[in-house]
Amino acid sequence: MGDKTDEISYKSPIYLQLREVIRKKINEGEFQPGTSIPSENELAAMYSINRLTVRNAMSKLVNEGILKRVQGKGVYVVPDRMERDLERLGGFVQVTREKKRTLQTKILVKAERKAGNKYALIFGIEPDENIFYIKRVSYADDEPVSLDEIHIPKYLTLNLENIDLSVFTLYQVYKLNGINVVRANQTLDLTTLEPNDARTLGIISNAAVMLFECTSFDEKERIVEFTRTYARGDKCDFNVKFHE
Amino acid sequence: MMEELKVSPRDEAAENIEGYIALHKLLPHTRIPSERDLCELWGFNRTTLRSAICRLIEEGKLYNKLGSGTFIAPPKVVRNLQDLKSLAEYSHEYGSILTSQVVSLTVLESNKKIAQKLRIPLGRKVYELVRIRAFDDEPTHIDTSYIEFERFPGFERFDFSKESFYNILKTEYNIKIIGGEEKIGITYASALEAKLLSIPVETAIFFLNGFIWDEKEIPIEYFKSVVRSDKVRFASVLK
Repeated sequence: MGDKTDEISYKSPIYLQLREVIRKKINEGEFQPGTSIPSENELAAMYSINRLTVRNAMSKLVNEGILKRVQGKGVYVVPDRMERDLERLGGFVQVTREKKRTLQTKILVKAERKAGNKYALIFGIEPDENIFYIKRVSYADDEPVSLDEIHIPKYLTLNLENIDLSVFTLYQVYKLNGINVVRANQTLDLTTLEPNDARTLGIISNAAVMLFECTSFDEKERIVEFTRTYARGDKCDFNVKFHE
Repeated sequence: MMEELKVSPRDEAAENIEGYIALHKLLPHTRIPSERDLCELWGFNRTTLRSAICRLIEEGKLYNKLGSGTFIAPPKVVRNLQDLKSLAEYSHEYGSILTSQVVSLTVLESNKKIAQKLRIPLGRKVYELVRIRAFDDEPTHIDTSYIEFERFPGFERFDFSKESFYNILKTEYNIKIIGGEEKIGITYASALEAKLLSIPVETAIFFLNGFIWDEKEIPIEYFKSVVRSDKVRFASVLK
């Protein structure tokens, strides 16, 4: 992360000094990856400097890829890992029908639940152990295109409570917790949605959707995630390359 | 602390059934216990259980036989999208018998789409081969293939109800297939497709189109397929 603190002294411009303060706090873990840092106003007050100076300091770190500005939410510390492409689903690459524009996700549910008989078998845990359940919608240009139901065993201790999942992807969360997803098996079927979910996706109840079921494995061959993704056929096509 | 979600009775019942099947390693066409027995086993009411069974039937995991009960559905043929296995090889694996029926084999002038996919000039002649593929006499695919006419002289003399299309390309024309690309989406069966696939008109089915290329990355075939999703599932692996 290019530590230039030895070049920065009390004589350096304040915005550069502040940049190093923020960088140091990130390196030392005071500002955690995946979480937001104090606002421009808060930092300005904390150090008795003006907001523009704070903004300059932040801008440099945003350019370096260490911080990320999220519209309406603040500034976040980027985890040290390549962001998983939101469009990649197994060997399929999602391509929206019209030219690809902005992609956003909205978390509908982020909760814990009992594994129950089915997920106990999938994850190799007891039925009364807890799993995380995350339900989210993806939008391309403000139009819903897919719905995810994500199941993760709680024993992986992911600290999901504090991470803003509409900002960061799950693969970044895994990496932060020392979990390496090395393989994912995907299947594709067609199905229909329950009325509530159909409404969320903006389609009529008996319209067919693509159902992807994805099982993700870590390097220890543990199943770390089981996700069902329902994708609109009219908004997405999936491309796959194949070879001998 | 995170909210604790209580799973709906219907979902819990459906998950229980799936768990039960997996735990006891029940085979396809096995009858599952009666609604009443399952209600007693798990403490759900009949409406909940019936609704769970309906969902699983809709998802293709169970089927009903009027008067006999509810049974575990046979697995779908799983086609791995990332390899070039022919349908014949899949049928071997599943112990199913694959039959092909040639609907038509014609020579026509390529339109814009075909020409672009095959990277040939507009209007260049192509063979169009349309086949129905069936596993154990149940039609599952309608495959349409386009190849360049001049490149494959004598193509029309082969009987594609008996020969494998890719095998012919390899053995008779020395084509080395290296890879390809395809796009998958949903479509609704037209009257003709419905008739050929023995399904109701407007049933949702998979639509695939793509092409395969040789070692010089020159397209050999442009194909279009419609596939019954109740019979076939696609799979891929991300590493």
